[in-house]
Amino acid sequence: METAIEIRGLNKSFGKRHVLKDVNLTTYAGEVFGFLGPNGAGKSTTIKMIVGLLSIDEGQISICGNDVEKNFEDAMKLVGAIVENPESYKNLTGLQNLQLYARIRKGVTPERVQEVIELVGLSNRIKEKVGKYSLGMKQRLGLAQALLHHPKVLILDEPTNGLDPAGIKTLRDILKKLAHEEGVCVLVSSHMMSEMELMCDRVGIIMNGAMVDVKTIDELVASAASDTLTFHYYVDRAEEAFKTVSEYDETISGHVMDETHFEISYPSDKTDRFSGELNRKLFESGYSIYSITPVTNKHLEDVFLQMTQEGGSQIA
Amino acid sequence: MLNLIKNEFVKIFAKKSSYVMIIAILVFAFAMQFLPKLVNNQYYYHDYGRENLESDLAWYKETNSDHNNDYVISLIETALELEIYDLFYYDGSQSWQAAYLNNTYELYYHDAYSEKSEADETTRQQAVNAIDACTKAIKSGDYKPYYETMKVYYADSNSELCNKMIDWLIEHDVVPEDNDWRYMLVRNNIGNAITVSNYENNKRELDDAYDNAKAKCEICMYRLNNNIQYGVTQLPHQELDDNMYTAVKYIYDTPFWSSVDGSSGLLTIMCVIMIIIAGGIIAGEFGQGTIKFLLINPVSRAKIFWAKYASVIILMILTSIFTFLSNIIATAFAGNAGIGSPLLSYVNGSIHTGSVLGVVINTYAFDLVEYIVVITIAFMISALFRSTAVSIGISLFVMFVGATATEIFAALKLDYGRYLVFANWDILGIKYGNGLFPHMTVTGAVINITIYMILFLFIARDAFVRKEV
Repeated sequence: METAIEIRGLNKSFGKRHVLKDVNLTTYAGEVFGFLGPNGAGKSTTIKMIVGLLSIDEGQISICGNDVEKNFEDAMKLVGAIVENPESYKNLTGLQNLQLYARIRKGVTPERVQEVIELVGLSNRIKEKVGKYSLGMKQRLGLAQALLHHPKVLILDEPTNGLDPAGIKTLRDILKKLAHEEGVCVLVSSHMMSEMELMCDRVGIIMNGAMVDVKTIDELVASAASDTLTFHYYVDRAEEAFKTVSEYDETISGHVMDETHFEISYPSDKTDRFSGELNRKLFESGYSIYSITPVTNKHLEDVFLQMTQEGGSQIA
Repeated sequence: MLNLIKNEFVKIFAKKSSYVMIIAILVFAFAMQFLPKLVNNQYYYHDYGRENLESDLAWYKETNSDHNNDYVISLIETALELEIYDLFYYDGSQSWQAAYLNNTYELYYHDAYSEKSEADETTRQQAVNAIDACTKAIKSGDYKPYYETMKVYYADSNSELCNKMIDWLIEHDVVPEDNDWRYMLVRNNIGNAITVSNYENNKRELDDAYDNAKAKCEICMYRLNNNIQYGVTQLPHQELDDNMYTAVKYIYDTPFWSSVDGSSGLLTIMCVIMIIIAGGIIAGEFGQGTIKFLLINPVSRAKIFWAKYASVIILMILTSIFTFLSNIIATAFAGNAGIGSPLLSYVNGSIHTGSVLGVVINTYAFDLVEYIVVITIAFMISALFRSTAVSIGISLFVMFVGATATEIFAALKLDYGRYLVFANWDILGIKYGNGLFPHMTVTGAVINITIYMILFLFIARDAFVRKEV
């Protein structure tokens, strides 16, 4: 895989506060990378250093092999970004704002500007002054700005802020398409874990200025998942059925919820055959089974909370 | 780079305040032309009417009679008889009749006209005849004797130039009225002609004042001979103007260009507006939060910095040109004549003509130096602070306090004040010897300004490039 962003031994202090401690991170072309961390963990600082807004105290950042400090212009040709809030010139229209950027980036044609406007769904309002835009519309304009010059690396800081559900869906589709079909590396930071779970291929978690984990979503969830499977049963006679089930195997635990519902758990290393036979037993014992629902595994949010709360809930 | 500058202009002209500036220039340009006219039209110089003269006469008669009183009484009585009421109205627009009568009395009266006079019969008769001739000429409207009397009146100074000028008027049948520019030109230059002859006849050492007077007289004659009603006289040396306030090098005897030149002060107002633009051009990006989106473009910060500076300077220059053109248009609208006036100079015994436009543009261009320094300071401060308000506030503060402090240094004779940029930016003033400190030179000022500008821009660039956003 082609390396997109490479961060090595990154350190940053603001006065006496050591904000980033030896951060290492590599992202690749064709992936959506989620950058997670509680407030004040160093997400924005890292992003600002990637795009050259903050100076680097120690370490190196390169974009597709171009050092951000030594080769700023070449590195930035490959980067599109929204840093913090998507701010634009309020006295200009959306289109005029985009034209400003089009003028100072190479190879952005008027057709490309229209294409991007179309893509982010701003066509109807693009000739209005940005002062009249809602946060969601500014976010879309920011995205359009970031996409103008076909960047190889797209960095979005809290891109779902202010977007409506349809907007979030559009954003997700755009980002996935860019990454998976056009081979762009997308780096997204967000606090909306459910969104990140749907959007990202890999995530990196930063806490107190240090990277604590970089994994795929599946790996991360799996690593933190419990080692039991849980099922929710809806039957005609819950109490008796539960008794039958618990007598079937000693590893099965659970409880009756009401007259028609109960839940059971058993170790996740049991085979599917075990489950099949368990259910046949219930069926043959004459119970009417209306539905069996697996109680889902933990979500990214739970994992995130679990990981970050280990360090306490205070902002670092 | 060009695209960066273009972007800055797009941003500047997206603001309503920029249009306010353009309208302000136009409004001020026209106001400067028309307001004084409105005021003038409402104010009439009160005529020295018959009543005033009669009451003067009564006053002189009441007071104890002496010889001097006899003279005045006789003069007023003759004037009343001839219906000349502006007798004591000496502001340069006195009628020739009044001037003639005054001159004649001054030349010939000698108490001799009075019956109490102890003068001999011949002198007395001479006076009677002269005053008779004067009244007759005035009654018949014959102005030629007035010119002759003028020549006699100035005969003491033995000025060849003076006679030459008056002879020219006689020869060309110029009626001595205010509205004849040739008559007015000669009247305004008789003093200079006499100055010249004073130097020459008394063999005084020739100095700047002589050169200037000589040039003025020669240019006066040139204008008469070539029928040049409006012209700008370039003096060999600067001299204090009529108000004895500022040194001037050019005398604008042309309403059009004098008005355009005088309106260059309009640039001061523009400068304040430019400070606001320059003060906001970097700080404003921080205020809006757009700085982050500007700096992540594939353009180095240094380029962005210079593009912004270039934009401010280009805008200042465009504003000056716009102000200049607005003033020209407003002046033309106000109906001021003399747009085609030549620039006249007297060098090595001959007259040279040139373009006034160049001189006026020069005035604007030199003013621009000061404004560019001011704008650079405002720009520097803009690069150092993140708040537009702070940046503009400090710029204006530095402007006023800096200039005032330098004047205080000058007044207290604290000589190191001369190294402040505020003491050096008025290059035109220094050129004309109006520097705040003694012995200032244009070269020195230019070096001083250059050093300051490099220093300011270095500090600003450094701050901007290193800034953590």
